Amino acid sequence: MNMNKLQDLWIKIVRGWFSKEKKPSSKFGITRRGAIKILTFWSGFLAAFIADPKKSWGFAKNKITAKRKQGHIPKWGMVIDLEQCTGCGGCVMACAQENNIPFPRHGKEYDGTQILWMNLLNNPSPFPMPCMQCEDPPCVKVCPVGATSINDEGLVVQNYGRCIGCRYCMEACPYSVKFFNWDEPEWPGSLKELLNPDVSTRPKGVVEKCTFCEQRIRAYREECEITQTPMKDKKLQRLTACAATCPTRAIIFGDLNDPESEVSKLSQSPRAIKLLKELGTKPKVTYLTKQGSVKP
Amino acid sequence: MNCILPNRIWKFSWHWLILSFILLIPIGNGIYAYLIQIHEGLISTGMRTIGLGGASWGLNICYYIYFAGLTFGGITTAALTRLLKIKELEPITRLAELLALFSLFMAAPCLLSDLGRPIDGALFFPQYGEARSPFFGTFTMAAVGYFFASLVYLWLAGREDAYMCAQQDFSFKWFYKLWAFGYRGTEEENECHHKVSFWLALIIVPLLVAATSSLGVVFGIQVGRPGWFDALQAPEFVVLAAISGVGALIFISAVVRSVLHTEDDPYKDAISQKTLRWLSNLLWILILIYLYFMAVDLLTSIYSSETIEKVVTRATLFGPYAPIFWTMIGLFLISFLILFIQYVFKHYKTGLMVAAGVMVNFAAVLKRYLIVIPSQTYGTYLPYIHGHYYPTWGEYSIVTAAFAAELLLFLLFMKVFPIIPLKITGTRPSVPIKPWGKILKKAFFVGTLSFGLTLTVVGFLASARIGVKPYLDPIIPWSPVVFIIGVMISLYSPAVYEVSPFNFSSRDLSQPIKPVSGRKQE
Repeated sequence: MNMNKLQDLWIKIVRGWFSKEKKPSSKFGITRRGAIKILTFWSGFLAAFIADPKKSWGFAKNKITAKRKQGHIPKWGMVIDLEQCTGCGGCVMACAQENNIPFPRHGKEYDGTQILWMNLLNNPSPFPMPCMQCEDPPCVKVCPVGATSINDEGLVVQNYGRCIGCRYCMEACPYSVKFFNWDEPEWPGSLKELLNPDVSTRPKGVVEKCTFCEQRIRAYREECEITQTPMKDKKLQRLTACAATCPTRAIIFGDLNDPESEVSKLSQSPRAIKLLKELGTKPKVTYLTKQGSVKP
Repeated sequence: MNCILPNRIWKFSWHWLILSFILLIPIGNGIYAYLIQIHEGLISTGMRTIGLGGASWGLNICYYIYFAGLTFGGITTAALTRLLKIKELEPITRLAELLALFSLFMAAPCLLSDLGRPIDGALFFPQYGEARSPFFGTFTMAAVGYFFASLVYLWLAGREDAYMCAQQDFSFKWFYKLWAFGYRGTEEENECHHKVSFWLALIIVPLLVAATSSLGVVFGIQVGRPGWFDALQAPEFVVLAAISGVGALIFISAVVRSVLHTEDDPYKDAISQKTLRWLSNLLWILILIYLYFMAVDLLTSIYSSETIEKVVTRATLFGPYAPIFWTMIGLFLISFLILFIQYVFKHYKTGLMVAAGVMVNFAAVLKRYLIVIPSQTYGTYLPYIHGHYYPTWGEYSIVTAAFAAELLLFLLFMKVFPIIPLKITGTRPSVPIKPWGKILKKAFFVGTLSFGLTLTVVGFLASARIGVKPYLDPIIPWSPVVFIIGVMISLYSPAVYEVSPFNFSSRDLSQPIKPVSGRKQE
C-alpha cells in the first residue's frame, strides 16, 4: 500500500468519524455489525477471564508463584559457624573482589563511607555479617520507588538504576548491612581492569547491598540447565565468594527448601540462632554458636 | 463598595532593596553549596553510614520536617479561623496561608538536597511510587496536599483583594485579573466564598492531620530503629508542627504589625494585640500537650530496663545529646511560663510573646534533631560502634538559604499584593443567583469532587497493589500521579463551586466598582 492510499484511508476514517450523516441503525441505536463486534470482543474477554483472571487484565504475574506451581523452587540461605570462624577477613576480601566493591580510601572525611557487603564485627569474637536476606525485609517495605525488591529467587536485591538515594532502607535495616555510595567509587591504578564483568559497578548516590552472589547462582543454574543436571548441594555449599574463600568452611551456602542440603540440616541444629529473630524479619542467615545463644 | 489600599504596594524603599539584597547573599551561598554537593556527592555533608560511625539522615531531614511543620501550622490556623469563625485571627489568615505556602517551597529543596539522586527521585517517584512506603504519604499527601490546600485558600480568599487591585493602575494587571478569576464583588459571591471556606476547612483539617501524621509514621514504624518505633510519633509530630507554626505566626504577625506602624500605613491597626494574645494562649496550651507527650515517652523508655531503647534515651538525657536536650526542654519551659503567666495575670507584652514564639521554634528544631539523629548513632541492636554527626557548612548553607528565601518571598509578596485582607467599606451590590445557576454550581461541584475522589482511590489502590505481592511496580504506570491529581482535583472542587460562572450574566454588572486608594486620599 503506497502513501497516497494510506492517506486516503486516513481521510476516510476521519471523515467517517466526524460525519454528521446518520448511519442506518436499529431501534436500539446500534447496527447489527456493531452488535456482533461488541459481543465478540466481550465474549473473548470473558473466556480469557475465566481461563486466567489475572492475565486477562494484563496484570504482571508474580513469577515466584508461577514457579512454585511448577515444582521446587530454592530458598537460598547461609549458615555461619562462629566456632569455626577465625576472623581472617578472607570472606570480606573475596566479597569485595567478586562484587566490584570500591576500595576504602584513607582520610578523616572518608570515615564511615566504606562499603562492606560482608562486614566483620569483632565483639568479642569475629562475627561475619552479610545481608540477612530476610523473608520479610523491612528495607523492601519502606523503599518509595521499589528499588529494593525481592527477586524471583526470593533474594532481596537492589535495582541501582531505580534507586533515588533516599537511604530510607538503610534506616529501616536493623542489621545495618546496606551501604550508600557517598561519592563516586574509585579503583586505584590497573585494578579497574580487574573488575568482575558479571557485576555492575554502582554510581554515587545509590544504595547497595550483598546479593548472596546472585550472579554466581544464575551462572550455575544456567550451567545445570545446559547439562540437564540438578544443582548439586556440594557445589552450592561453596558457591558464594565468601563461602568459597573461607579456609575453615565456617560459611556454608545452600537451599533451605532442600531438606537434604547441608545448610538445611545445620540450620536445624540446636546451636543455631537467628539474629534479631524477635523483630520478625525472618532472616535466612543462621549462626551456629557453642552455647546455642549469642549476645553479639 | 470601597476599599483602602495599603501604602507599600509597588513602592520600593531603600530599606526594602537593601534587605532583599542582603537576603540574596545566603541564597547564593546555599545554591553554591548545593552545586558542590551535586558535583562531589553526599560526601560533602556530615552524614555517613549507620553502623560505621555515622548517621545517614541529617540536618536536611530535620529541616524538611521543620518546614513541613510550619506549613501545617499555617494552613491549619487559617482553616480553623474560618471553621470556628475566630474574629481575632482573621487579619492574619493571609499571613498564615503565605507561611504555609512559602514554608512548603523551602521544605522541597531540603528534601531534594537529601537525595543521592534528586533528578531520578523527581522522575521515578511519580512513575513507580509505592503506597506502602511511608514516604508515599510524605511525597504525596504532605507535599501535594499541603501545597494545593494552602494555594486554594490563598487564591479564593484573595480574589476580592485581587479584584480591587485590578482596578488600580498597578503593573502586571493581568496577574490581578487572573487571580480575581471573574470576581465581580457582589454580596452573593462574598456569601458563597464564606460558605466554601467553611466546608473547605472542614475537609482540609483532617486531611492535614493525616498528612502530618504520615511524616511521624516515617519514623514511628521502624521496628529496627530503637527510639523511633513508637505509636506516639504521629500525634507528637502533629502537635510539634502546630507549635512551630503558631510560634512562627506570632513572630511574623508582630513583625508585620511593627512595619505597618512605622510606615504609618492605613492598616497599621489591622493586627491588634488581641490577635497576638489569642495565638499566645493557643501556644501555651500546645506546649503543655507536647510536654505531656514527651514525659510519657521518656517514662516508657526509662522503665524499659536494659534495652537499646534505654541506651538511646541515656545518650539523649545524659550523653552527648544532653546539652541539646536540656536546652530544648529549657526553651519549651521558659516559653510556657512566659505565656502562662501572661495569661494568668492578664497582662500581655508583645515583646515577650514574640520571644516565646521564637524560642519554641528553636526548641522545635532541636527536638527534630533529637528525633532524627540519636536513634541512628546510638540505636543499633548489633554491636556497632556508636556514631556521631556534625553538619558541614554545606548543610548549614542550604538550610540558611531556605530561611532567607522564605523571608525574601514574604518581602516580595508584600510589594505586589495586600498582605492583610483589605477592609471593604460600603455595601456590595446584590445580584441574586438564578435558580438554574445554583443547580449547575452544585452539579459541577459534585461532579468534580466525585471525579477527584475516584482518581484518588484508583491511584492509591493501583500504587498499593493490594492483593498481589506488594514489592512489584504499580499496576497502572504513573498511578502515583493519578493519586496526586485526584487529591488536587478533590481539593479544588470547592473552588469550582465558588468560581463557576453561573452567578449572573455579565450584563448585570456593567459598571466596575472602583476602590479608593489610601495613598491618594492623603
